[in-house]
Amino acid sequence: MNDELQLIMEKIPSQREANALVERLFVVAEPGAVYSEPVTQGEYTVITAREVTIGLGFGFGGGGGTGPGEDEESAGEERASSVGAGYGTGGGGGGTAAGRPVAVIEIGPSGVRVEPIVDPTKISIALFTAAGSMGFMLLKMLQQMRGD
Amino acid sequence: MQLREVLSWQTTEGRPLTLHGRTITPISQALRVSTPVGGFVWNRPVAVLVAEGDVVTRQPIVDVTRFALWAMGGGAVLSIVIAALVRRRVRPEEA
Repeated sequence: MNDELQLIMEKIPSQREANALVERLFVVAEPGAVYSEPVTQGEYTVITAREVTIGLGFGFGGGGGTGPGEDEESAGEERASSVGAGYGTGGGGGGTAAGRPVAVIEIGPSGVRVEPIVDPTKISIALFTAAGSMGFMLLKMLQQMRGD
Repeated sequence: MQLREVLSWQTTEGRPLTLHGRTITPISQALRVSTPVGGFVWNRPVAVLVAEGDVVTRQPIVDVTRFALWAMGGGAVLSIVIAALVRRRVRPEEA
């Protein structure tokens, strides 16, 4: 039994490796992931600023067991003198990453200017969703007031 | 495992850049969630520090899109709360 346990533990990735993977994820938390390298054109230099979101999750496990040998079980004879054993391990993971431009920093001879970047697609989708839910609630409210 | 190890909110200054006699330092803010089964990072630009001689000014970076999304979300939640309150007021009169 101890040998089987040893075998299962060897098959499962160690927590140290998993922690190292999560640590690599935190490279995104550095300012270099948010601000681009400066681009210079003539007297002006531009740096873009973006929002970055990244997530990662994983899990792994294993198990094993022992039981009567196949022949003895099917024959229904006396208890097995030989013992069968099995074990298994498994794991899985998933992640997501997203980035969105937020602003442009313009550095020129006259000064530094921060220009926000507006995402009209995202705003319009949210606007329609919010307006739809608000309209639905208003309709329900009016029906309630009329006594329907 | 302590909460600080799992959840942290840190403000970091990036590499300063000197141009036209000004030193520009970008600042970012990151939310880090670290667990034995995964992690999450949300990093956003906050401001730029502009140093010109002895004068240092902070220019905030406003995320207009996020502001608009939060405002709409807040409006939707508020409308739901108002509708629920009106419904509660109408029901006793019906009874």
